[in-house]
Amino acid sequence: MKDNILNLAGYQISHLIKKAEISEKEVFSFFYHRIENIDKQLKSFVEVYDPPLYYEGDSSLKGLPIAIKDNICIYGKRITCASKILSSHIAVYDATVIKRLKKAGLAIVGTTNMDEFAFGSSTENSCYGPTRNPWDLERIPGGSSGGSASAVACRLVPFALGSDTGGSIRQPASFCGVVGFKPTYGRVSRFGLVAFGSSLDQIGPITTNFSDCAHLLNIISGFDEFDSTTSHKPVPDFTKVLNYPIEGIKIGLPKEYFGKGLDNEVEKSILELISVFKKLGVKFKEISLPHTDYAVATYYIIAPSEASSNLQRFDGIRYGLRLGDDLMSVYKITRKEGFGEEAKRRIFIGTYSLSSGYYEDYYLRASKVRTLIKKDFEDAFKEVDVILTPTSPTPAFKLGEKSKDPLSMYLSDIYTISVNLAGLCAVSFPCGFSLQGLPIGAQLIGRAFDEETLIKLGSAFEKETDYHQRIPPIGRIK
Amino acid sequence: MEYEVVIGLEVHVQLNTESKIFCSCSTRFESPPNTNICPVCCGYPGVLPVLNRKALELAVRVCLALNCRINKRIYFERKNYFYPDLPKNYQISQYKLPLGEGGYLNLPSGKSIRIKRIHLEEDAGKLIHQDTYSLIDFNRTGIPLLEIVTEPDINSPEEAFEYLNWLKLTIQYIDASTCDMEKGYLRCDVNISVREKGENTLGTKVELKNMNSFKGVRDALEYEAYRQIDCLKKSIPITQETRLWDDGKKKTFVMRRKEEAHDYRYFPEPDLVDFVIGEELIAKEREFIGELPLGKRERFIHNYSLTLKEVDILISQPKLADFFESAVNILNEPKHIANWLLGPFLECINSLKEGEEIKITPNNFAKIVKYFLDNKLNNLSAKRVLSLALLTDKDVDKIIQEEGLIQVSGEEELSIFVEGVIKDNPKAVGDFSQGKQEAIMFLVGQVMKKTKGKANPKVVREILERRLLK
Amino acid sequence: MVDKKTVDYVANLARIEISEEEKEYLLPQLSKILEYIDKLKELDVSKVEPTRGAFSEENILREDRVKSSEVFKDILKNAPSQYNNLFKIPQVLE
Repeated sequence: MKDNILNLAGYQISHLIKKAEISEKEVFSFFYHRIENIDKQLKSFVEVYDPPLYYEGDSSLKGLPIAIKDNICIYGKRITCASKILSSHIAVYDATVIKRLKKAGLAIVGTTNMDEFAFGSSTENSCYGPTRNPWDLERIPGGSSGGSASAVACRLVPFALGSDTGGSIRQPASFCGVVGFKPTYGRVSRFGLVAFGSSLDQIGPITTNFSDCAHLLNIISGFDEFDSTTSHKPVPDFTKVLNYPIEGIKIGLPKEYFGKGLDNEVEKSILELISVFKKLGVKFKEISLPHTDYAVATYYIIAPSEASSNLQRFDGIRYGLRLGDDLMSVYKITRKEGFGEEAKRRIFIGTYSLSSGYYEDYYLRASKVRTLIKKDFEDAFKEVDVILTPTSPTPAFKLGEKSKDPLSMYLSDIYTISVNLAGLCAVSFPCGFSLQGLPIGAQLIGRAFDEETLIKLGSAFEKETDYHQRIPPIGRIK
Repeated sequence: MEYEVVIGLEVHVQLNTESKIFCSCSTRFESPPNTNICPVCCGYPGVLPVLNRKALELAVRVCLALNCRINKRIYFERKNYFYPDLPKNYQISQYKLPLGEGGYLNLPSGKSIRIKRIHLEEDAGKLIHQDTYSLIDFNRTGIPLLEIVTEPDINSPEEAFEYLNWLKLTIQYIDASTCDMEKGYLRCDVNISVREKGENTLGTKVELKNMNSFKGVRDALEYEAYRQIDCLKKSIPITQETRLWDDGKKKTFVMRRKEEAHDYRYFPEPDLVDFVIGEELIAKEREFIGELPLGKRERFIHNYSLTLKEVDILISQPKLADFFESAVNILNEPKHIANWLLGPFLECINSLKEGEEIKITPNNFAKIVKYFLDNKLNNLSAKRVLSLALLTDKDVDKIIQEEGLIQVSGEEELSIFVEGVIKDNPKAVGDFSQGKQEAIMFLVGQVMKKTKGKANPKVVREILERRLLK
Repeated sequence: MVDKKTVDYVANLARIEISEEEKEYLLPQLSKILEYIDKLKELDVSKVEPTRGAFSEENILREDRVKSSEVFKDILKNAPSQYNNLFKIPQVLE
């Protein structure tokens, strides 16, 4: 039985624990063993808790280990956001999602690496050094939730939580060949998630398959009295739609997402995906999201503006790193030494966009273009139920390939960013492999609070293919 | 040359809530330092604000009482600046769309001061300055504040003083804040400029800070008006600056802190939703606004034949004014009720010990006055009954009975005491017979002493006069 | 284009010390990013309302109730420097 669980979904392992065919202890030691053996090469974990933080509670995922991105607060544990400025900071409270995981009887095994404060698309901007892509150690795992995606892809844990501000769950999921779900803004509480772009951030699950994704969403979703921006809308049982027929669902293909810059192999995989869906009775329609070309520019004003304000609290006064002698140098030196290069870049862009004389041309203008981008989607969803796009224009790129050119790094998020600006839900899931053996991800974008349609489509596709069962070579050890 | 002073006031009041504006920490003033704090008000990573319903309701109430137009949909914004008392290094405040705009407050003088805007925001912490370092207490951080800004309509320090008093009273009347300046529940910054009379453009304005009382505000303005007019006269240019009031030296000084151009980078607070101020909420808050102080003042002047001073003292405390009216409803003797209330009653209250609670009902109070007017209690006994009745809800009749204080006016009964006093005080009796009128007061006093104060002094005097002039 | 003066101004607003070398590479990077962002100026947004957030529910409020907790002890423990339960910092000059 123990050898066999590598190929099982999390909910299936939990089922075996309940039937007493395997013990929780055996499950833990199975995964700890893998972390110990494989993570030396990946560096996906920041900290491993041994024993895990385990709480009595119950759910369909009871007894399973889970890893948490290092920007979500776990009471009594270090929370660093992969930044020097927080490197010794201890969380004094549990994030709402952590409370919910505890209540569901999951075991937290550790925190995963990320781009500092989630600023990045490669997990290279971490004070702990980069995480590697398990399919090719010379490549990046994507980011910013690169640690979570890489750990899950290698089955170091059955699943993990990430956060997504402009694609930070979906893009690494795509690069690592796993399922990364960004719920609708307001579906999952942000309380305890260290804020990057407050109007864009959302916590979501990274899993190997859609079933686990649905089970985890059931646990973490829903109104939270500590987050004014969580919805009162009832949360459906997402597992109910796992075996649903998808015939008649109408998918839109936005022409702006299939043009210049899209890698041939990625395009080919998407076309194969379309033909699978067609066989299952799904209808397709070409649509247009006319302001797509402005999404990256809009995002790189809104997100850094909010971030520049959110990060002002890291000042050396109440917690975290403190350097400098007089008050002004405590501020300026602490922040100079505490923040990495990319964090400083974003703080600069954000502060600039909000400052007097530039506010109208930058922040305000971007807020208006955001309205247009939102409207593009509203119009599209009058014609179709879901939108299908590639998650990223290319498969995972090489370490260092884009780190010297911030703009090219920003542009790698071109397909994921609009979703956050519009507050919609979206998921990336594996839909093929490149000739070099790198995973390729497809993105489904749904209407606000219509996560169910995405799960329906994704789980139906899983039944037709085996991409989600493939394990990277370095993870194929026993 | 005549000069005109132009003053605008910016007042911050702490709203009467149990918990802070965005978290559930207590707003208690007396707590030990840094005990009313939590991750939210300390700006910890990952926290989010959730607006206190009561704070919004009280803010709406103040806007209504100050005749503001209330914006139907409001949102909060972040005001970004680094300061150690501000944990997030931004203050959640309102900028573009304040809760209330275009209001006014009428003053007893007949002048109306326009209110430019009223908005809701969070307070910062308290800095304690030491010789070589500073300390921070975050207990105050996140207490709900209302900022009330006037138009530059105030033309004298005295008028500023009057405005502050009436603003405070108005807010106290609607239970929105205690406005206790000593505890920092009300803080006031002022802008003042001067110009030649008849001039249309405003002079260079100076901001004044650090006044700890309304009197301090008035003094600071008086000094500053004098200083600025003196500058004009001597053609010394006035610089736009912030000056601190030194209450000991009675002077204002330029703040030493380098004036940095403020660039607050306001933008909408993404962690909070929009708030729609519906008709229902407005109607509900309107119900809490009873009669406001100016209306009460006019009515009191009209309805009761009291002096202006009496009216002003009565209405200066909404509870006192209510007590007065309830007592008058029971005993229609407003002048006497007012006399007893503003005299003995306030005297008794002032001599209360910490923690003693006034429990006397208007009914009991009116009874005491009635007993006095009916000659059933003399002045001394009535005061004694009042002091005994103040802290209980026991019926006055019972107190009088227990203490045996009912006034003795029966001639037969009193004659016995009078005879005794005449017999014991031959010298005074002799003085009186020789025309020394004041001797009779001594004799009355002796009777009062013998009767333990219960005798009706008027009747005693009558008996004595009759008896000695025989 | 951003110039050195602007970078200094923004650095001060953001309370981040930056060295001359940092300016050397930051300036062209920021200029390039802002140049890209300037493409937003192609759009006529004069009649468009700004979006304040991605969430449309309103009037989310909490009741005015005090919840006491001992969390202040943990918060004080995290302070880089404290004295008698107060956060200690270098002198603040008024």
